[in-house]
Amino acid sequence: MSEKKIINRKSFFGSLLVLGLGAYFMKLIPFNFLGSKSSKSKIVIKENSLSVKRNSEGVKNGRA
Amino acid sequence: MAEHNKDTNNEKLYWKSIEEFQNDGVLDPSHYNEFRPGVKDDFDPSSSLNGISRRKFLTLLSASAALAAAGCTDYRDKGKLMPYNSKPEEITIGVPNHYASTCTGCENQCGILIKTREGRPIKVDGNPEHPISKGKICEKGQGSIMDLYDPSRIKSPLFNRNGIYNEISWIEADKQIIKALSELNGNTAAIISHRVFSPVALRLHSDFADRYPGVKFYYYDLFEGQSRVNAWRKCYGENSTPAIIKWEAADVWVSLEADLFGAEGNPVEQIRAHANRKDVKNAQKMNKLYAVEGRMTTTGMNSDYRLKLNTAKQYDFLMSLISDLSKQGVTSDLFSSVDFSAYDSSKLFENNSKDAKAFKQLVKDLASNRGKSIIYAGETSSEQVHILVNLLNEALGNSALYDTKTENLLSSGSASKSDWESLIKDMKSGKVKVLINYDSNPAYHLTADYGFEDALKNVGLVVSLSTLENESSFRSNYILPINHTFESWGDAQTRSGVKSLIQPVIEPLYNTRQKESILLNWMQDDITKFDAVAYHDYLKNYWLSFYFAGGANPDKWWFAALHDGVIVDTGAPDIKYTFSKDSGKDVKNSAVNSDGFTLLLTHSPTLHDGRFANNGFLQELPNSVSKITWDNYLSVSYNSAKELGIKTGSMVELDVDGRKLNVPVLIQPGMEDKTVSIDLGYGRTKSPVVAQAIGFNTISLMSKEAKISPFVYQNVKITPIPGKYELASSQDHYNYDETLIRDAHLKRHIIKEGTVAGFIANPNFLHEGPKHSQISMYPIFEYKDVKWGMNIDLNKCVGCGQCVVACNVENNIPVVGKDQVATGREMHWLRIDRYYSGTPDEPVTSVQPMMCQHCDKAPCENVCPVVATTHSPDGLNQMVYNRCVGTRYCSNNCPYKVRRFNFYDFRDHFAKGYYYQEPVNYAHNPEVTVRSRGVMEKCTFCVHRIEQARSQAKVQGRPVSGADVKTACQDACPANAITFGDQNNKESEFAKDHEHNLAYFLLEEINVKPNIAYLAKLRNTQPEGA
Repeated sequence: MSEKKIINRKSFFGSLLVLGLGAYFMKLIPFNFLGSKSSKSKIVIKENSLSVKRNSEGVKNGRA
Repeated sequence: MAEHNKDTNNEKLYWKSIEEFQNDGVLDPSHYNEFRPGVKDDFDPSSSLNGISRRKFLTLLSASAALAAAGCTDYRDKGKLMPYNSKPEEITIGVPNHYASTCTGCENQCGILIKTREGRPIKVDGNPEHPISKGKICEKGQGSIMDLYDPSRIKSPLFNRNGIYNEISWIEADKQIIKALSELNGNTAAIISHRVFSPVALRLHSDFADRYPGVKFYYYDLFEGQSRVNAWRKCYGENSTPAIIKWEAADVWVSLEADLFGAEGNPVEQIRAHANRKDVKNAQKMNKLYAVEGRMTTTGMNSDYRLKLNTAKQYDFLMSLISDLSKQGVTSDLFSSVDFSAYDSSKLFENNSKDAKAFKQLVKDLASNRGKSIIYAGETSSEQVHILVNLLNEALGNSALYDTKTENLLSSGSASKSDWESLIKDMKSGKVKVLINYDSNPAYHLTADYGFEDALKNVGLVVSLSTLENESSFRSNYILPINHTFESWGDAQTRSGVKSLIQPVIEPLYNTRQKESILLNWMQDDITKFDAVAYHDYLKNYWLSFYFAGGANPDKWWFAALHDGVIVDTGAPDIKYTFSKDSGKDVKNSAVNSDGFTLLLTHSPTLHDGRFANNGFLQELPNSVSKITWDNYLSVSYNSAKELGIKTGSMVELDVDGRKLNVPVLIQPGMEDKTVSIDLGYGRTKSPVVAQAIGFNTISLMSKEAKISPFVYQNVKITPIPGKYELASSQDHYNYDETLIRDAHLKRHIIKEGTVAGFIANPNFLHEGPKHSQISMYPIFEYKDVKWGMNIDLNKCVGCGQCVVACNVENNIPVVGKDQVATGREMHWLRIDRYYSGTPDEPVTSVQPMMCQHCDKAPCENVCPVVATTHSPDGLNQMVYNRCVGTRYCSNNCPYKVRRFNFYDFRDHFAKGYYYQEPVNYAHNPEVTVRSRGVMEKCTFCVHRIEQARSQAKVQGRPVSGADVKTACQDACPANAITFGDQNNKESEFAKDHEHNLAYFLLEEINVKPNIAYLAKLRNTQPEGA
């Protein structure tokens, strides 16, 4: 049978849309692309420079 | 024509149409094909149907999928992982740091050691150098890590505009508040705070009040123990404070409605002292604990003798005790100050011969242990009861057990009832221009009859300083978010001679400020230049001025103090306790004779006064006694429930002098028939998601005019109402009358107990009797090096549950929520089983921590279809999460039912992904995998700690030893009931205890060879007739 070479634009973009949505919900697409908030953390973890820690090997520092 | 009918052979021809006939039987060639030209014309794709062929569609589909896959990066990618270019000196990746600080969760202010990883705190344990807590903290301290990372924390200052809170800058908020404080013009500003135990903070408050005349501080707590303090002052003088008791030196403890192992006093210290006197190696020296109570408490569960007493009859009890002691020949001048002639214990326990016998034993024990016993009344008791207790202790010589070197310091003290009434009056009249809720919640805590909320409407400016929204911040004009304790500087002193420091382990996560820094800033002329270090300097200057004894290097002394977290003064002068002989003269019974119910409002060991209500770990920790999670409930005795026609889950209306509340019921074995109890701290209405609408607000039943105490009410009416309420219990309640299961734990030797006298007479009593023959088809495996094992001493364990919270924090165990707990899906790797024997009226309770037994012949290992659970050469039953496919066969086969399955990704499932939000991810211990859905998990014997110890031992060039590893539960247990070590090191104390006379294994008869040995509990009871 001879093959029609015509591609229906509606179906092409429709299938791309379906695949894209599927990939998004299955978390295959990184959130960055869609501007999601969860990729960037606004919290900065920083120690206080005036605190005095215990040395993890048990050696005491700062002993008077 | 006739010729057409014949073919060339002259045979008959057939034709189907005229055309065929006319064409000599020959048709158009196309007629001989099955499908003629034009047969597909109607189905031409280019006309009305899809223009794409099936082949084309599939081509495009695969191309799109390939493009999508190629374009995607790993969905787990959260950013780049790079080593430090310039490594901060104090951080080494993979190596934890520890900081000494102080927990401010309750009035005990225990010293803590906070473990941090990569700059963020992940675990809180006790500070071993702190002389009171000695390396342990309670469940609130253990769970406090979740409060730091609570997603609901207020992140920046808020201003209330027409009922909606909008963000505002600090400068703007400060400006308005300072303006109001500066323009008081003879009016007042009230600052309401919880009681303060920090000398530096008190000094700051005094400075602040000097800076702004008209400012007055009001200190309060829901649980102040004011009856005890007032009674003590009447007995020992106005300047005296209740003595610290040398619990460990007491041979006889009498707890009068005092949950010493729950929330009364300093439970960590009390549990340790009790455990130190329950050493099986020194059985002759074991102490004897009497619990005299109306409700069932953790203390009552662990007592040697338990007497049920209506909470309102404590006065009668003490008078009867004095009467019986006198008859026993115990004389004292002090007894003459009270009239006990009308009291007789036979009337008190006339319906209960068991308690009557126990009372007689109590009298005997007190008489023969003068100077070595202690009677202690709980914080809910009346002032009169406390006076009688002081009198009795004094008369029996038990004041010898009062610590004369260290005294309790009340620091800020508390506002009295008249102080509050005067404040409310000023508020109503408009005299109070500014009211600041200074990290407090008076709208929730003050009883309704004060009228605080109504009076708030007449206050010009209401400001709340808080970490989370609450009932008070809801009614504020400004909400100023404050730092968590782990982000703050400070100090604490609850006893003379012991001063501890609070230091931040992390910079504030959000745009918050420390509350003391806020006050300091308000005292400055230029508020735009906020100095985050100002309070540190203030604190340091104070300490250097008052505590530094002098020397060349004050900074070094300061660093040492911060390093240790605590400084202990020695050589304090002796404290004198002089009892006023007339103290008992005017003591009268504040309770009335009544046949009605007595309501006892109790102190929750997990939620405290409600401030921890938004902490999922603490909400989900099963109550030690009832095993209920996520709710408070009215505990009712078995007999009373039958009389009222109610069951567990029924709803009742409580009527306390006209104040009504509908609450669910729990039938609690061991409750006195006319006493009912319910926890305070629940029923928060304005709180973040986790706490919202959990439980019932029983503060609404309290009154400032209570006759006995703020926590005890008589003649309470209980009326069943329609409706059922589901209480989420982590352990089922079976039908107590069911003979098949009654005492099953004893019959199956899950709980083995004895008495002290029996053990001394026959140390081997536990192992007498027939032994199970244990034949196995599996070869014996030789554990050549270390073989890990655990011992749990049931004499010391009181079932407080602190180990459970520690395990949850250490192992990233998710909070599942009430509905999932009700379905049996709580994820706690470690549970405390609580068994009753006897009758619901007179139960004998046994507790037993239960976790994976790491059986040598583990039945779970054989049945895993994907070999996700294996056995290590050092005796651990291992779990490989990424192999697990979730058949749950292993859990099915486990005889101890210690395996927990992730039916959901609980972090996602609970409260719509509440614990998936930032910054909860920072709370996770990076050493332990965070499990997802469909995976089985269980206790690992803290294998990550074992591996860390192994690496350290390797670096040091030696094999790892049993003493190198301490599991999280072992670290947390205040009783040191849990020990972990190497069974193959036969010289170690651990191995010797593992094979002690009292050691037994659970379900030995099934021959799975568990590696946790339980030391049987010995009750210090007298044999019958002795």
